[in-house]
Amino acid sequence: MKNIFKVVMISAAVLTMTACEDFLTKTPETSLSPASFFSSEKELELWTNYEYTTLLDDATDYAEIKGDDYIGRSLSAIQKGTRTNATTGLWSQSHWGYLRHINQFFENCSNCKNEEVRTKFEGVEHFFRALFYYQMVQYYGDVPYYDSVVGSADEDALFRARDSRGFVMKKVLEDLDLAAKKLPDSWSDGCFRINKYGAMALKSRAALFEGTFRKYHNVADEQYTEADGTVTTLSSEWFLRQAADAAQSVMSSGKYSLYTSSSNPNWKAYRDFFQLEDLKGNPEAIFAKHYDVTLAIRHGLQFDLKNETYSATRRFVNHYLCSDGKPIQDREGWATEQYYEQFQRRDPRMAQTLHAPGHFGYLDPEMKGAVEITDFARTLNGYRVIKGVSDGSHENATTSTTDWAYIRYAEVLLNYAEAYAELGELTQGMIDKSIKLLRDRAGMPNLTLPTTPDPLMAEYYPNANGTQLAAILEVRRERVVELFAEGFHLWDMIRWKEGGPLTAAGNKSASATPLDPACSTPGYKGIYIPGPGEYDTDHDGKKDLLVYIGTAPSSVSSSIPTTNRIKVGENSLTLSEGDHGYITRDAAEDYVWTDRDYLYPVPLEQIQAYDGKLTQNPGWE
Amino acid sequence: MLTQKSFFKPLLLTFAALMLCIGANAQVNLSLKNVKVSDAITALNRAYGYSVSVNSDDVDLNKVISVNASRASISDVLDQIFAGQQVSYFIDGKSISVSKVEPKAKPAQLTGVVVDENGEPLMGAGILVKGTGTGFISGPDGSFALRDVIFPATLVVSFIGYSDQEITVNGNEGHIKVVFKDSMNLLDEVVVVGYGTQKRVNVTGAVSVIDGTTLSQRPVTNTAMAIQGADPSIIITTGNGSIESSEYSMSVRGKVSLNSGSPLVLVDGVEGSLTLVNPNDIESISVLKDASACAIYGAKASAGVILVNTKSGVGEEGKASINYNGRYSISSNTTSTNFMTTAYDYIMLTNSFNQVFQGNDAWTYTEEQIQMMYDRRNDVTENPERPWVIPDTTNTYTYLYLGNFDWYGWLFKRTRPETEHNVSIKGGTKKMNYYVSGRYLYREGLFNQGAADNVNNFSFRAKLNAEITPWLHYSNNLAYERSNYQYGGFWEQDGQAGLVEQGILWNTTQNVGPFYVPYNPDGTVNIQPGFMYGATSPLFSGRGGVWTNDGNKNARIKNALTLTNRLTFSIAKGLKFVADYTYRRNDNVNTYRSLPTPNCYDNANKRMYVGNGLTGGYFSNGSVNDFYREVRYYQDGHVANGYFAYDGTFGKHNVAATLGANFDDYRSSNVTVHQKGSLSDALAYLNLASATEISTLNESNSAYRTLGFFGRLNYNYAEKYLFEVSGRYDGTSRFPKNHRWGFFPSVSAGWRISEEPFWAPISGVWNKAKLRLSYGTLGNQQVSNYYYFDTISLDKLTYTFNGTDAAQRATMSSPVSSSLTWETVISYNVGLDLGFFKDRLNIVADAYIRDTKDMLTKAMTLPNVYGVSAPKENAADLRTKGYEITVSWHDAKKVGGKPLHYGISASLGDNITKITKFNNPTNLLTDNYVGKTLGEIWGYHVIGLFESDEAAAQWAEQYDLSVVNKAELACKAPYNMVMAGDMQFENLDGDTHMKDGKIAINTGSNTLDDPGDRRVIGNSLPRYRYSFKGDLAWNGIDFSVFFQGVGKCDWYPDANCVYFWGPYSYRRPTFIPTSLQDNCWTEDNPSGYFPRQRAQLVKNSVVNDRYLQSAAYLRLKNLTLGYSIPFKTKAIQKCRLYFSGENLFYLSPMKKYCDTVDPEVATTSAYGDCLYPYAKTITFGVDITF
Repeated sequence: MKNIFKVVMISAAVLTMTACEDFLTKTPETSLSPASFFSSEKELELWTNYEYTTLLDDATDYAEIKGDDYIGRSLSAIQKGTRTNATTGLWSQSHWGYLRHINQFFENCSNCKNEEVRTKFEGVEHFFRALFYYQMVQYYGDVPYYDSVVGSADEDALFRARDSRGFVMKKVLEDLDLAAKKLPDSWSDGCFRINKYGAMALKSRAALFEGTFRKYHNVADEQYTEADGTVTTLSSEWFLRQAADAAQSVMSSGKYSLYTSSSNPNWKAYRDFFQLEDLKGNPEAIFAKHYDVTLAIRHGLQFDLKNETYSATRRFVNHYLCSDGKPIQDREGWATEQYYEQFQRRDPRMAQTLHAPGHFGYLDPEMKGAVEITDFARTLNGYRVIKGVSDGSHENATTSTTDWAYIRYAEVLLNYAEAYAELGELTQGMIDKSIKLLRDRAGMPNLTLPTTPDPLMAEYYPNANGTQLAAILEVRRERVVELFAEGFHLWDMIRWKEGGPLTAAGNKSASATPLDPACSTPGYKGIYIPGPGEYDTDHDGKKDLLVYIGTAPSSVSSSIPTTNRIKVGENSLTLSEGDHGYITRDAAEDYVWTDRDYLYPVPLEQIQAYDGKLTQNPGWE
Repeated sequence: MLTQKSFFKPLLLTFAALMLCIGANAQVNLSLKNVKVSDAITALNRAYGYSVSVNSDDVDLNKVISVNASRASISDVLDQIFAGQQVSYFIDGKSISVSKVEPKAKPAQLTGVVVDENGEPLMGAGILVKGTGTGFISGPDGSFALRDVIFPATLVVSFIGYSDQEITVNGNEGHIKVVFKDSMNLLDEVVVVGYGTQKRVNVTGAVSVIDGTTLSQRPVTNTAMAIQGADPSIIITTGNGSIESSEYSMSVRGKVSLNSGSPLVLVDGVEGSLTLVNPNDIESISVLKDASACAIYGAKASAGVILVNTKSGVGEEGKASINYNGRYSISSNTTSTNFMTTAYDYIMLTNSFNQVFQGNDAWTYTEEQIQMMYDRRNDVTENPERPWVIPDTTNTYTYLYLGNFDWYGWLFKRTRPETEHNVSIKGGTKKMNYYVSGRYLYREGLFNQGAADNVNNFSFRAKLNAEITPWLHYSNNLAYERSNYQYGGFWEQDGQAGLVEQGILWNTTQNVGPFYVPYNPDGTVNIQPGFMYGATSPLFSGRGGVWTNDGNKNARIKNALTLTNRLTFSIAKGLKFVADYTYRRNDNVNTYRSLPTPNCYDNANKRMYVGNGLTGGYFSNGSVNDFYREVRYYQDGHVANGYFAYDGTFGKHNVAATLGANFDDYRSSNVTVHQKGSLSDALAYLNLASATEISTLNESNSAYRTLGFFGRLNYNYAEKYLFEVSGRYDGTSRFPKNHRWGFFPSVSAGWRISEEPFWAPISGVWNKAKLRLSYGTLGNQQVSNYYYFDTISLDKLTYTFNGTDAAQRATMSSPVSSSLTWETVISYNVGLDLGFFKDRLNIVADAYIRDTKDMLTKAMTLPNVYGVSAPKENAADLRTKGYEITVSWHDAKKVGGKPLHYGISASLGDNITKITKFNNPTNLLTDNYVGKTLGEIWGYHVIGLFESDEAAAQWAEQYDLSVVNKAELACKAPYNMVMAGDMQFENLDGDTHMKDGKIAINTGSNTLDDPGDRRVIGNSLPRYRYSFKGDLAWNGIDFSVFFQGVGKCDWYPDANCVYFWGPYSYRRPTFIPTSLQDNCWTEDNPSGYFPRQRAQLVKNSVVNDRYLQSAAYLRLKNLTLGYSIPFKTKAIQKCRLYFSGENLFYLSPMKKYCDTVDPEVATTSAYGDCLYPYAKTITFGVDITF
């Protein structure tokens, strides 16, 4: 009996003693813990990989960032004027979560004792935090700035008011400076990871945005106290100079140059760049995303171009100079030039961007395919976009594997030129270092520092001003042409305060008798049609387009495909003058662009959640 | 005291040891020759002082004997004195008493009669000589005759509906009369409670007991189904009628938390599942309902406890008893499966619906083709003169389909057999007993086509109980269950829906019409008929031909093993220590094999797909791919208990105490492998993967531990004043260190008023009255195992940095409140136990309030800048109020000269749960809010259907109907307006909301203060759960009937519920209830229930009271009729043949417009209620005991 008691008491004692806290602690087995994570290079890489995949758009997304330079089957909310303060936009919980993820890195990265490794990835996170806030400022102007993880109970932080855009952009530039300092020159993955030049290139982009935005929107200067006590005046000029310096530092590094060779003798380097399957090692690619057919990592850019029938606008087409360097309006009858004539003797980039008569819609390495006519199944208005179009196998949904450059050297050159032009300090020498390189590659004469503003450009960009207005306009022309459909134009128009043309209604010029008659009526314009009838648009001797009003003619040339038989008044397409004129999309859509539209509305439910501390952008209340 | 010589010595030794008796050891010297017995007694008295008294006249004192004893014991001397006489003697010191003993009983016949309390003979009573195989069933006159009985013997008399009685017979009683007393003697009934048992009379908490015999008499395949309706506090929702029986949800007294919280199920003290217990093994089930009963289980018991106790062996010498219980059953649907099967009627109806909706036909047939259907409309089977599939003369397609095909009958089995064989053996000796049982169960599933659809269940239980020493008992309990469920279909649906049947069943409800047949005349599988399409139909495009292809095979194999070893130490009188250890292991393997369909013909594109799925050329669209997937899951559990139990009586003070500890440790592991493409069609193994096509490989492990210290103290005075205090201190690995431990106490008291002296005058009529009161708190720890941890997870991306492999990325889990801790459940219970007319009438009633505090819900809404969802906090409360009452009556009457025993009982239970705290400051109706009753349904009031187009137009002038009549307005012109036969919704909030100059009928701000024109129109939770039971036994026949129902429950049919809505739900429904057409409003039928015929109307319409269905029901849950054959052989102790019907019929107001959905299933579905049908089961069975 005694023994039983012993056993019992010992068992009870053991049970009780082992009942300490650790006995009841069960840690997750098949998942990792933040306490031990962030310590190795592999782990830091895994963590920072997240940012690449959340904050960088997919190639497909760039096709959707539309402005007035091209349109698609469906117009964007900006173009349609349907944004409301009920939409969440980037002010969503998940998007702010990306910032949280970045700040979690800074909170935990001290787990990594290898300073060299840690520093490298700190650079990555500085870059992405800058990118995050740059985007937020683009959308919302003033935003609350957080450089640490906010706790659920930290009400002061959670419910804080917005920080001024100047302050935030200053922080963006600081992050980019730190990124440039900490990031390596290169990675073994090449341009598919961000390096220090990428950070400087983004700095030139962001600073140019802020500098021009402040200039054209008359944003008041702000004072910023640096860590060392000195006070910096955040002005338009200050940002522009930052942009110029950043671009200069990339240029002077000598690491990058324009891609001038072509993988195929049948087309030029400019077009070739956008259908390369691998940008690694490409001299122009500073920061890019790789797609791979065997890994099934693909995008749908080409499918979208086809499916959404992305089409350039005539306004954009008129940006292209003639091949002799003269503006198009100098050419006799330019305003009513038809499709074929428009492409003759123009900046060669035009035929490398839009489907030209007698050209191939697809890249056909062996040039065996039939010469294509412009296909109204793939365009709304005759100007079919072929930039980024590779061969036919990429045309199905999500089958493209061409790489996409987030940042390419050409942009840096354009940022450089624009910053100095806006500062009024652009010289011929600077042009020769920047725009000339682009012109050389395209096969165009160099730009001579202009002094007289081009009247057509002045009409297109009425708000532009500056001591070097003529130069500003020519730099813009170069930028619009070179960077077409790469996701820039919408934001360019916003920072330049040229919002009107972004809507179908605003696409009409303010002047009653504009130089460009296509701008005398609202709507996005396409190719010029003298009247109903059959056309041989590519001058190959066969009719390939029918335009008719009312009932279809009883006999139609068999060479005209059914998709190229256009009925006026159908599918939102009209002719600008009724029975003739420019093919017009959405002439009837009468949306108004006002100053409020330069910023996105803060979601209403967020304003309400803050109980008055969070203010709405003007005009969106 | 009667002893026999042969037993004398050991008894004497025992007495000597205990009583220090000297007599036995005294040495006697006595020598006498040829003297009388009486003289010898005198001599013994003189020599040694023994006084011998002879108690019987039958002892011959004059018999001449001789005694020759030297240093002999007194008993030896007595043996010599009484040599040749059958006597026994009792020696107490120096005094000896001698009695005559009857001649030693030879095996003899015993006859008798069994009668009831009123003296009426009972037929069919079982009489068994305990410890032997000798038995008899009483005849019509109640008589029985047992041969070869060795006396004294104990008879066990049993009778259906009564508990067994034991009678001792000495053999000199002659023709015996066994009076069968009414057995409901609640005074001695023992109730299993946490870590012990209590006498029913002493229970102070709310505990109800379900007797195992009532379970095993019903042909239910799992225990979960069996306890439905058995106690009014229990709500069992079987997710569907699936044959696998794996999915059920149960609540005791309603929902305990907005989070999970289901009752703790303990099988013989170890956590288990009701579906894994063989119902035949169950001795009893205790339902612990209030905090005082549950407190000893602490943090797991907040939602109530179900204690399942299995049968044990018998502890007497003797032969084992073997029981065989076998049955054959046929299941069918409880609901109607009458759907339209005539193509002509079907086409006319669906086309007419769609003309209004889209302005065209749902199916593009020409008039001639429809005429051909008309010609065939009476052909239930195909008439060779008018084939159902003919060449398409318009040459648009190859085939034209004109059939009257019964798709329901083709896809599904209308009747489904099942068989069960159950064998149990029990027996033992005084020191050891055993119970062994085995069951085989086979059930067939619903699906008629494709791979086999059935489940094979094997279960086995072995229990052993042994006395090692008088102070140490050992017992073990081994249970093993295997379930092998095989079914067809394809994994994607299973993966999406969680249960294969739901997704696939729902898919079958669309896009097939009776005109169509599964196979073309050339034997090819029909796909893409051309004039119709349906991407999600299981037969047609999308998942082409899945039911024609038995290559789609899946299985779920479950193995569950539980092994308990227990030692019981008897330490001192009334005090014991129990220690046990249980190992539990569940091993599950789920396999999924999919193959595309070979031999398909695409009628639309005139294209043939041949091949066998490997060689290409087969039809495969989207989701049915060639793959094999395997999921392996196991769970290891270790449970240890150690506790002291004390039971003592001091005069009128009765004390019982329990004190101990419980330790649980569980770990589970799950590995999933998914392999694309296989080298074999027939075999499914991972190593048959083609090339490197392992596309998914995932492992996840999870573990938790709990440790609890519990105690209970019971005290009562004379079993009149009862008190109980119990509590548990519980710790769990699921909460962070500082919030890990919780203490959950309870107190309860009872007063048996009827035991008071002042009650005596009325106790003849009202014999029992007891008041019970309890209060206690419990915890709810039902969060996931690692909920409070921040974890880093990795996922693979469609992003590459190097072009050689896809990148991975790391993220951190959403933050969790650092103060995360238990939800607390506080409950108050008051109960009454009443008995009248010597317990003929019994009433048990309980009323309770249960408060759930600190429920883990979202806290305040944080701004988006926080970046993740706000962590959940212990921030909401709810309160449940309810009651249960059970009234029963049982008695016996004489009917037709034979005794009739009968009993009836009725029970009723109800509860209602309201939210008392919730963070929803604006009281948005899309969320919970303070004051919300769980289950409430918000909707509009429909005044009626517009009588005329003019009335509708007038109404539309006045009111903005864009919300409530959205679906009507979206129809194709000229039907894009409200018209005669459309629903007219009432405007309840005046002109509060205006739109375009009209009064808007809408949801207002969708808040409690401004709900617009919506009101609470019903509640989807079952109220007033009731049941009626009746049983009677007469002349060997037993009969029982069990009705069960719900008094109030509302169901608003989901927009996907084709079984209810037909074409109002989808424009091309497979199944249209035949009754629907007659109930539609038409100009000729202006009183129709359903509105104007508009296809897909309900996809865009609003919840309203017109089509709210009352899912209240009364169901004949079970009816059993049995007959016990009175065998006159000792080999068979009992042989009962029975018929039983489960869910035989139901009554429900719902039936008026919908007899295709069972009311019990209707309210539980996430799949538009197109679920695995609820089964009606007819059973024939035999129950034999050897």
